[in-house]
Amino acid sequence: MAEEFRLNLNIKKIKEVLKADVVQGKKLLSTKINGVYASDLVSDVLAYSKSGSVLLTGLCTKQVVISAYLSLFKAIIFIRGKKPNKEILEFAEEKNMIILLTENDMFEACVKIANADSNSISNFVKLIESVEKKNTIIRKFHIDGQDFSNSGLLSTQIKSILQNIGYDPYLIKRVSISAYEGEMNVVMHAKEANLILNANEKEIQIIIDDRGKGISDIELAMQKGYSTATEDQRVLGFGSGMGLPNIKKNSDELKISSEVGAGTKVEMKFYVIQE
Amino acid sequence: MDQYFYHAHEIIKERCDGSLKCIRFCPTQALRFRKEITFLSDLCIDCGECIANCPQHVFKPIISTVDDLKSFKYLIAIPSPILYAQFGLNIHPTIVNQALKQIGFNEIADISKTSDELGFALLHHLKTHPDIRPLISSFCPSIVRLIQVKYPNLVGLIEPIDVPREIVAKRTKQIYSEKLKINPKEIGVFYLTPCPAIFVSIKQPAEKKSSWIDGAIPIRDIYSLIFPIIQQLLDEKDKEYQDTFHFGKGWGVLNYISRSVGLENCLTVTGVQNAKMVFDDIVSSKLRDIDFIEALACKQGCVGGAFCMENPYISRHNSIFLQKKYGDINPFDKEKVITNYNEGYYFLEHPVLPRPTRSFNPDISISIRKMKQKMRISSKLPQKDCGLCGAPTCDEFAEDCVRGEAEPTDCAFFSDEFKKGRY
Repeated sequence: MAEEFRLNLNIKKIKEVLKADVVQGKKLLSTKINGVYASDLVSDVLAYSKSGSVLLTGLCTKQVVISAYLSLFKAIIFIRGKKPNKEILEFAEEKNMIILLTENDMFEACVKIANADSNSISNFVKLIESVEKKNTIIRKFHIDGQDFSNSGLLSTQIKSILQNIGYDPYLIKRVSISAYEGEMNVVMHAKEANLILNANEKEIQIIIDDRGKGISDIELAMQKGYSTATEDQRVLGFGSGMGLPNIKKNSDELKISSEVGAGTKVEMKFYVIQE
Repeated sequence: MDQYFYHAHEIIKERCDGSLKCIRFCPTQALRFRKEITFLSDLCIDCGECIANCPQHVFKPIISTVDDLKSFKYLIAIPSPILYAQFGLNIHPTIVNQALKQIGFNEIADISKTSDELGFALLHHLKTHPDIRPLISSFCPSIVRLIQVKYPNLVGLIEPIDVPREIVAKRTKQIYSEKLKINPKEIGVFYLTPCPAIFVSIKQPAEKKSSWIDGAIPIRDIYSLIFPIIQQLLDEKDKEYQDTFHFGKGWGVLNYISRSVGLENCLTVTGVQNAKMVFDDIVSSKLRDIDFIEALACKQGCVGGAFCMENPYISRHNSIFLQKKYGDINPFDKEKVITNYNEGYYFLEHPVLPRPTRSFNPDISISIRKMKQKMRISSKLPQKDCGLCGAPTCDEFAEDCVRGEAEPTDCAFFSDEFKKGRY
């Protein structure tokens, strides 16, 4: 019993349609929610739910509340008139979660919430589509310029995330080489940068947006062996002028934009080919 | 995970007092404590850290015993060179070999000369294949498994040349079955091993169908058997040593490969954590100018194996000293080695393949959803990596929760005991 959909609702509206009692979090009723997740199986809640949702459940245990908290739920609705104990309420209070009680059963509650949104059916379809599209891992990292001691740490982290998801090992290798080269470019030439990793079932994208001196001639920088590295950096074994060419070799798409004196943005894409 | 993985240890659950030390030491995070200690078979690389670090000896190595020798007509021992370093400096390796013969081995095979030969073959391979860099030594079975499990994209870098112990076993079996005119199956070739990983590589090799070696006996078992005999032999002082024993340079101490073949652009790394650091650098293409990496799972190399008697620093010292004293440049026919190489005599039967990775789901889109959930749970956990939940880190715990292998309430920080101040 697990179904998810996204709605443009707040807790107050849900309270009204379900005629629910708010037993915890009365001040938080204007909180907007992303969706509703109805399930009695805690492991499903952990495995499939999305953040910012409301959990609809008939299971009134502390474990459910903890699981909901860990899955970043904003509210829990206990159905069929179940009453949570003091412990559950204390935990919810501590973690700023809202708890509602309703006499409706699971199906009634789902239908009532679905009907509460004026265009719910068309919204439902649209939202399911957007959920499909948004099935992307997004991670942001920060890189400090000149931080040679931590260089390579990020690409290792990215590697282990991608490995965990289960991408093809050779794709991961290409991504981690490119991420490492991009990271090293920031460490050597820029003040700081943000690295964003977007990974979904079709492609993996890495965007490195730095604040630094910028590149005046991108075409020249793309040539093998061209480097503006300082003597000190060369002593450390960097600056062989292979950074950008190496990224180009390993990525499927590469876009570089730069403003001299402001910074450089490197966007790389890798296609995922699934058997 | 349908595939079955052989492991050389069993868990004696009654001994476990739940001290969780093993969980912290496991380099691949394969151990969990959920009411009782268990391990994830696909992640275990048989490095022996749990065996070495458990104060209650919960992990019992499964390994050949002296009784296994009885089923063979003719017995050949291949001692790891580490065996000779377990004794004092005044004990000549020949005495050790004599003692081995007295406990029932018909023949003792030397591994060091074959190591020299293989070192040369490796050098030849590096020269003829300049594109694949850096190659990683196939010597340590735990390192090979580490690559299969955690670095699947590096399997192509594993040196395709077989390890000395296998080549020696192959060779001696052929020689003695011809010489004695008996079936090779009746010849028992046993490796005297410093670590349990070698036993796993014999039972379930990563690179061939079946091993040439019939079993492995721990050095510490052999030690207790031959030590009294060695004492006796030493008392018979007038007995002269047959000076037939020479070591090649391929003598199992650190850095032996680079020393035996004079390979300069070579890294030596010991310890699984350190090896992981180096492999991470290879993945991000940081190590561009290195030709060869000799990685060994035990600290200080094989002298640090779980079955060694002597402390690794002393036996390393012994080892270097013995090699200086008795080591010899043993000439081998270089032409013949190259001919053998070209005929494929030294090669692994098939390349090492990655093990199926522990992703959430074969379907990437389901996997991504679960990964997001893992990150979400992880962000709410205390990140203290206390291990009280039974998983080594908060991150691993979050993953176990998403897989349904753990309950969020297992986290001590969400439990009632924690609130009541019992932790």
